[in-house]
Amino acid sequence: MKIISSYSIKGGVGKTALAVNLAFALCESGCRTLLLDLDPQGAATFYFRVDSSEKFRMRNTQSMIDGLRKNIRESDFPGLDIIPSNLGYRHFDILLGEMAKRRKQLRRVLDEFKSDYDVILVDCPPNITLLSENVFRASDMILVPVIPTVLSQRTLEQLTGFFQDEELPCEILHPFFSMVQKRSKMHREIMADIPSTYPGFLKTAIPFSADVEKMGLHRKPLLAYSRTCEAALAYRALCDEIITVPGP
Amino acid sequence: MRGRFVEVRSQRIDGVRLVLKGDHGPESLMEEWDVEFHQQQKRTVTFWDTFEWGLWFSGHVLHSCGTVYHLSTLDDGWLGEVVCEEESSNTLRFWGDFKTAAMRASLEGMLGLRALTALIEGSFDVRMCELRNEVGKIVCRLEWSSVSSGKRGEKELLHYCQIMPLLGYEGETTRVVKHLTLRGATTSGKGPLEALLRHAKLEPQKYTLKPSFGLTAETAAREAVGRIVRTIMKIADRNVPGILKDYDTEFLHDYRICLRKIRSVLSLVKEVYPAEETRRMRTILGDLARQTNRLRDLDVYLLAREEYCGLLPPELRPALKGMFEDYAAERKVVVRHTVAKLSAHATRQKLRKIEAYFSEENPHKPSTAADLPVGPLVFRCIYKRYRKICRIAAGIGAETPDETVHEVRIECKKLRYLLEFFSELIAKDDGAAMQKMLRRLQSRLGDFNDASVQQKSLLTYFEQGENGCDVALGVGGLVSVLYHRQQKTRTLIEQSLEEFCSGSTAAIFKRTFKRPILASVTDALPGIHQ
Repeated sequence: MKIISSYSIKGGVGKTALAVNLAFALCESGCRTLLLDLDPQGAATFYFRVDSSEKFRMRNTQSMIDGLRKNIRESDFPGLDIIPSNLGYRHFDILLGEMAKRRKQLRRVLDEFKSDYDVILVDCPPNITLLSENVFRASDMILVPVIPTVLSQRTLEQLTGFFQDEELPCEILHPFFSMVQKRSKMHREIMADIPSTYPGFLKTAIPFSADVEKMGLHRKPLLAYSRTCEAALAYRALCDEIITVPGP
Repeated sequence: MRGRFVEVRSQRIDGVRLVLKGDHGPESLMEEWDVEFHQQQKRTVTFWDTFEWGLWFSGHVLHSCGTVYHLSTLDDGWLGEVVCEEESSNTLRFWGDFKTAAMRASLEGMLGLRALTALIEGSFDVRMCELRNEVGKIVCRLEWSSVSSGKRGEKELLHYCQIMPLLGYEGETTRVVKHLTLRGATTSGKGPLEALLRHAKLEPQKYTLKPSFGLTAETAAREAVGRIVRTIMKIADRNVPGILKDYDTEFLHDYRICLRKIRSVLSLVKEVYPAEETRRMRTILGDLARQTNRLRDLDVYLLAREEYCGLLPPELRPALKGMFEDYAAERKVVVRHTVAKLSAHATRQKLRKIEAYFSEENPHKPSTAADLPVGPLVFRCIYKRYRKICRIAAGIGAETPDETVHEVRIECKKLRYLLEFFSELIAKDDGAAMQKMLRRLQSRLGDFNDASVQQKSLLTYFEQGENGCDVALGVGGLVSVLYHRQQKTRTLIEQSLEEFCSGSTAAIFKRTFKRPILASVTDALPGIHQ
């Protein structure tokens, strides 16, 4: 089982669109996939037409495991399950803070799902908290959407700085360009500049697309209703590229 | 799109199967759910199994639709989970004809040497639908089906539906089941395969070469032997169509065993029928078996092909190719001849003659042991046979000629038949212990005999043909290996015989079979003490 997280400190960068479409593409390529929506906004949950998960008490590791397992929902796409978002997840940090080995609890929880899934894909909230740090330590790969803008560039630097400070393995960071507008000169310049600085930078870039924005209307992954648009092809290519990245 | 059975930490969420009343369709579900229908599909499915129903009794079903073979579990006449699949445009008869490792591994144990035959064909009308909730999320999948024989003018045999829950939405499945059961559906009905078999008047039957005869120690000897003969004769008869169609080698193998067993019981339990009549029946049985000798020999050679080749280094293996091709070519001719002989009026008459002679209605002439209780009579026979084996075994050593070892093999076979025929009269545990020891001994004796017969047949093959040096090398190499194997087995046989003729095994035989002879038996059979 591989744990892949879609993460960015910055919001609105295409993080959830990535999680939703990557989960769909992985499932289509034969991986039993579980999408864990940790973002209390619950956008990924909404896209799959799933209700918010039932609240459950999170007192310790076992109650977290039981609560998450009870909340698994099968999506409309066989092979793809979801643990929907829950406003209660905002208490994760407090709970984790009270636990021993508080930075590694999520890995212990997710290891319990090892035999059931090939991939667990985590859609993370956009911040750096104890929960984020748990995600970093639980993940085999962290996918970081980066809009080719100065601000995005800056948040990527902040993230790598955090990894270095906390002695986290930088090689699991895999940034990629998201919401790319080819006509923008600034986008083109930043795209030419950044990747050389980050060895794990993925080649595939996701274009800015109105089709992606329509996911909210369709309430399904882009790949499920528009298989051949440019963004859909890019998500599929990104999935193929991720599959070839050597595992831990 | 087919729903799956989700498995989470081995807690499978099972689908629900319902047998529907009449052709009740899924339309009523629209009262409560948003139903999305998929196009109706028609599938013609062929179900496969062996003569022995090897798959059925192992809880599996092999079915093909178009060019794809599916192996599924069998669940009360319903198709369960698909174990594996394989696509092939050829008709696959033996497990070895399948190419995928999963299919071969699954089928090997269930089929053995048996061939698959098409049991039955069913025509399925399948309509998938999905139920959605108020936000358009699929909450349940259904497969709405009906099955018929596919023959024109015949009505559907069964209407049924399979409800496949989605993980996290099991409550909806409960609602669907309730909705449909209120409209006459039931969860208790047998599945479509069962319906097709019932329609075709086919019933899976356990097949065994070791049937029970319902004997007790007090059953009159003639009644007991007659029952054994009649039962085994029926098994022999069941195998004849398979030999005529040449489905697989086991039909002939079992047919010959049946004939041999009948001959054995007639000669081992003496004086049960008039001696002259018994001799006549044994001659007929011998004739029937003899006409299939060559075909069985060739089957044995061809079945050993892989084993033979494995005994030789790779560079010598091609030399055997021609030999096996010759055997295969000869087999084609011999099958034709054997089938012709078996179908001939004379053969059928011989088989009927045996059946008629041993039928319950036939008023037989009196004979000395006919009315004796079979228990004491056969126990005496069994112990006598055991003692005989021990006597021959005592003289076996490194220098003993092969013929003596063969003689022990034959005696052991007779003993095993007796233990098998009259197993109902023997305490279960003791019988099992004796049979286990005997099986082990027989297996070694069999290996010894096979190695000896194979050497002879290889040399005969070589002497009869105009073969080159490569064949000489191949055959020579094989004969050497077999000779070595035979010599090695001889030591093991000596060990097995020693175990079999002493210690606990001897004690069980003595305790079970050595009993004071009833006066009635001594009176009837004065020579019994010999």
